Amino acid sequence: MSYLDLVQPTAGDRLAVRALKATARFLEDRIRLVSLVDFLASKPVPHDLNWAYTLGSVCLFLLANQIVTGVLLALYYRPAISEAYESVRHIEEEVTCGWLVRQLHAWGANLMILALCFHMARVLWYGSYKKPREINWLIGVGLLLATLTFGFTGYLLPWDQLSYWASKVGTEIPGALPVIGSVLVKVMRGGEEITGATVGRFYTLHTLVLPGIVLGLVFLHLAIMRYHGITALPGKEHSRKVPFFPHHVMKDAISIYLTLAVLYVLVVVSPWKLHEKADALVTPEGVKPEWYFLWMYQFIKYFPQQIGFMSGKVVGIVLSSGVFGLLALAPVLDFGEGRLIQQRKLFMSLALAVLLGVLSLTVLGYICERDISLLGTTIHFDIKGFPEKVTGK
Amino acid sequence: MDDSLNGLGSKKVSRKDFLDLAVAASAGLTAVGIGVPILTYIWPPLEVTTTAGQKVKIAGLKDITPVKAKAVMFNNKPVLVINTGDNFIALAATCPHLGCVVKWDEPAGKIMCPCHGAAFDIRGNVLGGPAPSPLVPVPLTKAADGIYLG
Ligand code: HEM
Ligand code: FES
Repeated sequence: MSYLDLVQPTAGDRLAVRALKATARFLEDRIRLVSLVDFLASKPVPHDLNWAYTLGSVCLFLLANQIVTGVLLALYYRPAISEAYESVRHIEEEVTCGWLVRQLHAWGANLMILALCFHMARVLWYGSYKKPREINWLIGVGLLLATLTFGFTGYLLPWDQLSYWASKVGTEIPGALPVIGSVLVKVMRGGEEITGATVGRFYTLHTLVLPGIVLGLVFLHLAIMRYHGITALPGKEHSRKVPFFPHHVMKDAISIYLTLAVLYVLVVVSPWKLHEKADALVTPEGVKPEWYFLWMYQFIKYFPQQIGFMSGKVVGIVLSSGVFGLLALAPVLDFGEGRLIQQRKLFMSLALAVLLGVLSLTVLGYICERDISLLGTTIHFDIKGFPEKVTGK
Repeated sequence: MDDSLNGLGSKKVSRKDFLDLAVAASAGLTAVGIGVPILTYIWPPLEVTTTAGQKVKIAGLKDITPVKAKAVMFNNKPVLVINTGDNFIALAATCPHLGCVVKWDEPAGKIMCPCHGAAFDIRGNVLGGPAPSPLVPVPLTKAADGIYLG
């Protein structure tokens, strides 16, 4: 018997192929499914797209991870302050693979925000938001804001000391705004303080409202992207095109598997701790928000109580929110036609300045109120991130 | 139809204009009808504080020795009760800066916020740091059997 005999289709194989073809024909005749898949898979993309073009798919993968693990968490999580903390502990300690599901969700959320930032950076770098893609860029900014809100609302749910106090301070910040401030705080908290009402609100946003918004926006985002076609690398607009499947899909898959590997390593090596249960009477030392809000939090600290007739806090809040405004306005500020960096020097310098500002504030926010040891010297950084006392050891 | 026969004067409201207006008005009314209940539903109802207008015992006279303090919950809000030696003082313990709960720092004789370093004297006046306003006093009564708030 030769090898060829082995790969000769058997009667069973032929039946399977016939059944598949019949199913495909059935679906094609009724909802044109085959044509649709064909349309999506054969989308011509430039052959020289680099790895940065896979970041959107990485975001998509991380979103899928959040949805699957989120639905699983919801099976055991209880959104009431008498039970929330205990139910998370139960998931971590008693539910089979509960720790894995919770950690995948917690780390996945952080990686997703990171991936969004990188994806945005690539769109910014290549000027891919220029006409006709301005609206899709705005949808992207909407996705970023929605994802940040996901992070903020999810952080409270375990109801431990860290989540309670980060949410308390976080909801207090918009309260400084004149007129609407107190209304905003009350609507966010469902009352004057962070209570069970707040958990109910955050849980509803986190599991019902935001997923709906994000899935809707992602659908629009991808549909518009397919409609326009992906941008070529700047200056290489006429490079050869290849079908999206399998060429680019393979690249996407490699990035996604790499992300999955990073995700699992983080989950196993550095799991998120559940701290002590929330206590409204005791604020722990060094309350800080999650890393992606640190830059705003740190920025506000540098404002004095009063600037002229305005509260310093308000000025800080408005200025730091301005970063999102700048982001939304990128297609307007960067108005030239060219997408090459040398054609966008002014705008790219502005973008770089804002990026450096945000990065340094994040670092300052991280090191402040902490002892950092380097080469045998321990330095304490004060609230504003200035080195305070040096204790040689 | 002759315009002069129209009682509304020279400006005749055509059937189409009228219907447009009617449709717009019903659409507006529907939006208000849907929107108002949703918005009022989202606005949190008045908090039912079981203790409204009522005095609540929070400690016995000997529970807080001088010069110590105790944090208690009163009407869902943290309150700091300090025994100054010759008197008791109760202050809302939520820091007016960003809402952390302040602590009595006995060795320093000050009230400190653990978050961004606001400092207050024993009466709640701002000594330093980012707090925009003093800590608000809470009415306190010292009775024979203990300390009451409210
Ligand atoms: C849930 C979040 C998001 C998902 C799942 C997502 C997904 C994707 C995918 C798969 C692509 C195809 C090209 C690529 O991968 O680079 C893409 C393109 C694009 N994304 Fe996103 N994205 C998200 C958020 C954002 C954000 C936050 C922005 C910017 C503010 C943004 C702006 C854009 C633009 C302008 C394009 C078109 C780029 C081009 O045609 O070259 N996206 N997105
Ligand atoms: S919350 Fe008290 S100093 Fe900031």
